[in-house]
Amino acid sequence: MSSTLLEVRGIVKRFPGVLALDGVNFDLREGEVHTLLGENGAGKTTLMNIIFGLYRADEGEILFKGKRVHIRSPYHALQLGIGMVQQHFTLVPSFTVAENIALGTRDTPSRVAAKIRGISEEYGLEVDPHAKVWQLSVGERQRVEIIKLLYAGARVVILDEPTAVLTPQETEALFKAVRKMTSRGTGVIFISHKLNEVMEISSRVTVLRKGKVIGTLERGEFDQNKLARMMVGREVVMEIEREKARPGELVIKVEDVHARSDKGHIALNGISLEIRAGEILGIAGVAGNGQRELAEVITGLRRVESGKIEFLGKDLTNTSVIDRILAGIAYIPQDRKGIALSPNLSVAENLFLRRKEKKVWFNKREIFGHARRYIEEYKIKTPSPATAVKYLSGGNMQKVVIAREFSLDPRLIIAVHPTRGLDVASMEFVYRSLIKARDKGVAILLLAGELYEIFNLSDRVGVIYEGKIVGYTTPDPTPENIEKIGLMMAGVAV
Amino acid sequence: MEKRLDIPKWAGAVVPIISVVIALLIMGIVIYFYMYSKPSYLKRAVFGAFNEYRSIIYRIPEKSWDRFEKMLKAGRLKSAIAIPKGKLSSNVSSFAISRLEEVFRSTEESYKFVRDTSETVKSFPKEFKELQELYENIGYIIKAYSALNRTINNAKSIMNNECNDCDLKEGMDSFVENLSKVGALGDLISDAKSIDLSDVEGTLKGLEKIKLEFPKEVKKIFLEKMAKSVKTISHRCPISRSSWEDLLTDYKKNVDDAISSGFNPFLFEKASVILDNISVYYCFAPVVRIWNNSLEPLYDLHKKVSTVEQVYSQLSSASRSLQGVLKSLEKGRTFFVKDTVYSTARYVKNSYKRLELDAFTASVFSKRIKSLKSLYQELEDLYKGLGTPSEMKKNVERISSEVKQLSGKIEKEKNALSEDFLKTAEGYSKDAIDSFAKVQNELFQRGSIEADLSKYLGLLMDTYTYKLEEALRSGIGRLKLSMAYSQLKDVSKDLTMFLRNIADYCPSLSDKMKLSLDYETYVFDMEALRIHTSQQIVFDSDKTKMEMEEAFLKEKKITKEKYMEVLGKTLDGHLQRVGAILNDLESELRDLTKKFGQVSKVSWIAVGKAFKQLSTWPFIPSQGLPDTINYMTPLLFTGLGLILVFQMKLWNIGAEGQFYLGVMTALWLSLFVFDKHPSVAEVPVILFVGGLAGAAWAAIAGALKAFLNIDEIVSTLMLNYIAFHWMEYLVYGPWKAPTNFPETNEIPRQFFLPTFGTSRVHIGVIIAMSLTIIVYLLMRKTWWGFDLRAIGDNPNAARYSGIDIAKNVVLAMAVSGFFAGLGGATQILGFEHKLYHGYAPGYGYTGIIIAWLARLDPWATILVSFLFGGFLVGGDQIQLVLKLPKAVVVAIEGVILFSLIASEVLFKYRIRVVRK
Repeated sequence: MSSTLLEVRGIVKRFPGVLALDGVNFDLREGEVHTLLGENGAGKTTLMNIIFGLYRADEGEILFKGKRVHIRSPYHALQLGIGMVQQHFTLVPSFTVAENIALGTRDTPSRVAAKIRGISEEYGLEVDPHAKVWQLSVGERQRVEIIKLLYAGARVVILDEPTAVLTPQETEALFKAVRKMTSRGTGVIFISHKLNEVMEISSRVTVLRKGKVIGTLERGEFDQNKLARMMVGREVVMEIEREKARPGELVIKVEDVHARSDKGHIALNGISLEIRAGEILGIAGVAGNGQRELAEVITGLRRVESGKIEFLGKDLTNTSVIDRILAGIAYIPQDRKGIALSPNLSVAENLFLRRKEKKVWFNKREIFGHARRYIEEYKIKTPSPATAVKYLSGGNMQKVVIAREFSLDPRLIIAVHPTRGLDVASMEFVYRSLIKARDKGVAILLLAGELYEIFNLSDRVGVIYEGKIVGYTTPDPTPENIEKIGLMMAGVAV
Repeated sequence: MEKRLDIPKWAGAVVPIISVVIALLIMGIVIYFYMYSKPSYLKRAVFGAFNEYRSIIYRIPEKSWDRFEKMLKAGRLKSAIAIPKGKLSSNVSSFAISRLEEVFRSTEESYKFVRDTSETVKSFPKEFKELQELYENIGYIIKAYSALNRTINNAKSIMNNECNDCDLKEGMDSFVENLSKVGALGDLISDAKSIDLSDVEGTLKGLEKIKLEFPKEVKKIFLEKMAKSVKTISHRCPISRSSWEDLLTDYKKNVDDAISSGFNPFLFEKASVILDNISVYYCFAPVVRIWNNSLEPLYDLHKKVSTVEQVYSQLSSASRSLQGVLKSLEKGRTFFVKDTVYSTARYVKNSYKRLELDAFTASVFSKRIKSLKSLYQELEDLYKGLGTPSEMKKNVERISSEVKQLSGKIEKEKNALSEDFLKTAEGYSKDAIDSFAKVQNELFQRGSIEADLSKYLGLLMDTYTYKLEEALRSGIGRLKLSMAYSQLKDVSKDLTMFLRNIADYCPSLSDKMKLSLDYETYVFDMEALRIHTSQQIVFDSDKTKMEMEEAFLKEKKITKEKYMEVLGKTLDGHLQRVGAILNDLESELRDLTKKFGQVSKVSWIAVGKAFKQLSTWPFIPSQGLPDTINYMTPLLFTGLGLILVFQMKLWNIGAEGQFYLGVMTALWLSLFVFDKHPSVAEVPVILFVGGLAGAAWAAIAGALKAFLNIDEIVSTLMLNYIAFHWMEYLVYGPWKAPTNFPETNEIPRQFFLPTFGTSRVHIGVIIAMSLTIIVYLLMRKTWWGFDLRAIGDNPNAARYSGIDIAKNVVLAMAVSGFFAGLGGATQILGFEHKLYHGYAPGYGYTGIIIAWLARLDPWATILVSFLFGGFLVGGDQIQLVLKLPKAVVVAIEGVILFSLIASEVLFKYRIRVVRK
């Protein structure tokens, strides 16, 4: 057995209100690919950031080659021989490849360029050292990042979801390079939630869930089903009283919709779905598989490239936001401060940010009157309606959003991660509000990362993967069902 | 352990206050140094001049010492060892010092002027304020009278000097008496009334008479003198009478022509060529030279006559001013309305200034006349006796009478005897004339030196003093001062030349300048004088000459000891006088240095005055308040437009260009569209269309931002340049008025915005104020304003809320541009009335500051633009009162603004003292 390169023991990391890592043990041997698997928010990236010196652990220790180290900064980590390719690349776009790699070293770009050619050939990471970074594709940029680490002589290479941005061919090339690296004794930590990739490349797999290690399995011990189960876990379902849904007329019909993300990638790849009045469709999926784009396409914030959106029998494809507000589509976005609210405006003004009526005169007294009513009805804790909304707590901000969206008298509510960052009481309030709306005959599209939320609220569950609904299931928290959802989320066809 | 001291939030307000205080402090220091540097520059100039003098004077003793050394080495002079240095007072030094004294006096006067003007106005109780102003006005009037008095005195002295037969004396005296009455009693109105204006008119008439009489008289004197000298020549000249008589007739004719043709310099030139011919052929070069020299004052005279004309016209205009003053005073007494008193005061102040200037011109004029007169006197003296120094007089007289007798003889015999006899007589006279010529040569050399010197020095010193005084008067402009300084340098150079001439050429002949040696002690006879003048050659050179000298002395029976004694005394005198000059100069300069000590104090007073002007002048209705309001109006327009877009974080830097569009449109409509039948009804149309032009201009940048995401900061800024150069093109090109300046015609009177009463304040400020209400309503009372705020705060949320960002960006930019354009149109109709090249008031840029300081609040915008307007007016006022250059004022304004804006950022934070 080869020697241990890196070992972390009992790592605990707390963020305000969240226990991100709870006594995590993890080790990496020479020449192996150790995969970290887990849902969003399981703590994978936090753990890696601690190893890479971006965060400090509150408790626990890190041993590198058997010696205890305190990693102060990424620079320090790289000096030790620990390198990380982050999801967001850290390259200077206007510099050439060689200049980027020469940054922080004492070599001249020309000497660096020669060495880069050596490394490229050795590992099969093809890149032109004199090309400007902004001209490179995402895959090439990733290669530059890896070369940068190899150039610095990293013994531990951390790859944080490297395949998320790659084409299958690029993924294959990356895996080849990874195998070359391991054959030279470099340890690679691989983060992913695509199970087929995990199966292909990993020597070992450690599954994290909610900041805890669920288990570490050697190659041969794991299969896709087992990993999916471990990743998703057995969710405790909150007891929310609700009646069985009585689906009514068809409210929204999305048909073969294609759309691109902000970065120009294809985010929705022929998605289709239908929601009826009085039902909640929960969409499960790993973040970044088109959830946000789906919500934006329906609310009119994003253009549809092809396909059709029908709302109550009318074609709403590519109409304006205000048209859809008037038609009765409410939207509770994930990003409260960034999208749903205007932080410096008052609570009262935020309650009327989205509105149906078209008036000229802005009557402050009238608006404040209405605002007081909503504040009372939704129990929003605020010093006054004139308080800037940024001074409110997350739960109260969400209440402001919900109060406003519900006041639009909607026929369809799109809720994206509606309880993220909220305490239990607020969470329950959100749940009850949504169910109450459903019972009134509102169609609800729930896009949530947390499975328990989907199980708690949904009448039907769909799983989204790479911009498509890959399958539907029932919201039953049985182990088989959870395993099935887990596999679908990880892109394994069932 | 951390210890925290939290300072309450309101304490943040201290930050801008402190920063403004610091800025004002910096401003004080800037002004202080500026004011201080002005006199210190003068100080440097004076010291520079002193050094020049010193070097000149040191040059002489060095030379003399060398001579002494040589003499000592030659064993010739024993007494020379014991020469005391620097005891006797010298008249050369007193001459130099008297010139310097003039400089000092002017300097001192300028200090007094600065000090007086920097005296702060005493704060009277409210009820005495009016009284105080009245006193001030009376003071002005008294000053005006005394200035006039001075002018008239000058005129009087001119008359007394040059026109003895003028019988204006009585009228003048009574007038002056009346004037002094005004000054003494202070009871302004009644006494002013008693002044008989006919006296003034009498004075003017007298002056006119001088103007007519003066050149004629000068001409008469000149011709007489010339005739005399021609006569003299005729006795002496060895050539045939007819030939030189022809030449002289020619010459005379030319001079006559020159004078009758109004002092034509070319004819003078011609005359002088003829004279030159005479001098070349014949022996009277010195005489000729004097004639030539005497012609130059005639040129000057010509100039001076025109100066008299000027003085006359200035005096007459001063008298008209005085009449106006008196009328105003009477009016003031009759109605005693406050406004009338103010306008009277202003009027009197202006006329006072003019009078002061007149007085100054007159004094320069009289100085010139005096110097001219003395020159004539000298000339006359020279001809009368050919010898000003008494000791020389005898000799000259003797020779003169000899010559006269000889000439008389020749004349008699010429008539009686035949031509052969005449020839003999002429031959006889030649010897006499030769010997005369030798003496005369010496004397004329002297005369010419004197004439040259007094001309040069007098002229240069006059010019210098004039330049310096002018420089001091005009607030000691650097350029003028340096001119004066270079003048002083020139004087120094000339003095050097002069001293050199005297020392090298003929020290004995500089009696007039009192640098020369005492003739009595060494001049034994004519030959000794000759030896003395050639002593330089003797000292410098070989034995043969020394031997020759000795031989000469022997021949003339002058003992060597006696000769040496004379020489020793001569040099002794030189050195003593030089030493005295230096002593006197040094003590003068020491006094001067003491005087400069007061500069610091005066400078501090100036700083205080600057503060006072900045804080009070712009806000007092009778002073700068109208200007403040007129400054405020365009700032309010642009500021209001900008708060609208700034609150949606749309950085419109182009209010300047939008303002220009309004300006151009208003002009175009006024000058080229509605110019046929201009009527008041079209004013609102002009204003509105001007606003629309600004709106369109801003909408360009808005559309670029909304649809192509082009940075509005860059595009608006670029549009500013386009608008500016467009405007410049129109001013220089198609719209240029038929004047010499690149400017447009004035718009028709009908389009002028009405003003408040008689003040300069136009109703634009009312339009701007009412727009504030509109902006307030738009921003706070409409859903549109709400939408704009939402866009500004979080564009994502706005988009999510269905707000059309692109449309609103264009619209808001257009409204913002409308305000700026309206401001531009208002400025044209209300204030400028026409456009001229380089019109770039920067209201658009200042509007940015206004909007920012007002924290995007419409009501605060009114306050801020008012204060800012006051700030600009105060800056102008400092410039005027302290004679600061504009750059200094702009720098001070910059410092204050910078502090304010910088502190705005700090204002957002809480000050917290943390101790670990």
